[in-house]
Amino acid sequence: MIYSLIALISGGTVAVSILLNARLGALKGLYKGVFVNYMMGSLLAIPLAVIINGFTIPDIAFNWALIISLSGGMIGYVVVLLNSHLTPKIGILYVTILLFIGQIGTGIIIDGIRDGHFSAGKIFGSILIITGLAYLLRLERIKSK
Amino acid sequence: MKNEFVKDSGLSLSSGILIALMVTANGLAASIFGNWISLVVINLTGLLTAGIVLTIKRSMSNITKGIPFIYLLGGAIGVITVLFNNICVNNIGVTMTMGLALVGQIITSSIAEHFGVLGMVKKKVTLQKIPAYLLMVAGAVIMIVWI
Repeated sequence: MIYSLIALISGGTVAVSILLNARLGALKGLYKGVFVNYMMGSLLAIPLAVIINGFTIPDIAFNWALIISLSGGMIGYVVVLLNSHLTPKIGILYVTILLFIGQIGTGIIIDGIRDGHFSAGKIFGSILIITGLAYLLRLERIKSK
Repeated sequence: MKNEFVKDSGLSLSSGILIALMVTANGLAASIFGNWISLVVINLTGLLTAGIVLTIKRSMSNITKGIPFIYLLGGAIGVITVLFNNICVNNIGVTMTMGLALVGQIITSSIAEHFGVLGMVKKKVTLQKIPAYLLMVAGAVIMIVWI
């Protein structure tokens, strides 16, 4: 339950940072905007890690898991560029819903592989969320026409 | 034109797939490095990538000049997002983390748009939109309750 609440709040933080980063990108251009985003992230993450962890580097084995774990920041960069290229072309509404379908579809497969079974609740819940999202986007599209 | 639309739709779907892979990779980073050091690793690899691209494009100048303080907070808030995602992915999985986060994101941005925060175009939450929110919240509840 507590994790569900944390996940909901994380979505709220996404909305706020998208808003601020869009302003930043409009001011400095996309490429500089993303750089500043990660720079500010690093400037906060480093002191946090030092204060909380004392920055003791854990024992790390060099393997595939390590390489995959290092790819998140780079993938994030590609996603930001891709989305800002696509949004003006096909519109934020389509991008939002297709992004979510891609995310959830992949998420269901990854969770299925990890857990060894597919959860009906997650699939059914996702379908309801996608339906609600599509309905909301449709209303906004009609209104903006 | 139609082909272009199909291509861009495919790219949007792929971008969604990349987000799911990113969330999984970041969760893996958290289980290898711990929650706090993984935040440093994720931000520094992103910074390095962005820095390389800026260097190639020869635009590594005046990067932070003239940016209002509040716009700088986007990156700092992003750290909280990644921390929360990492904690959740390793406990409730990728699907639930992203599904619930989307519901949280839509609700937050609807509230922000309703009041026109930070000069956003105002979009009122009308009665017509309520069923859409209810559907999304119902989806979130089902995900949480029906495991």
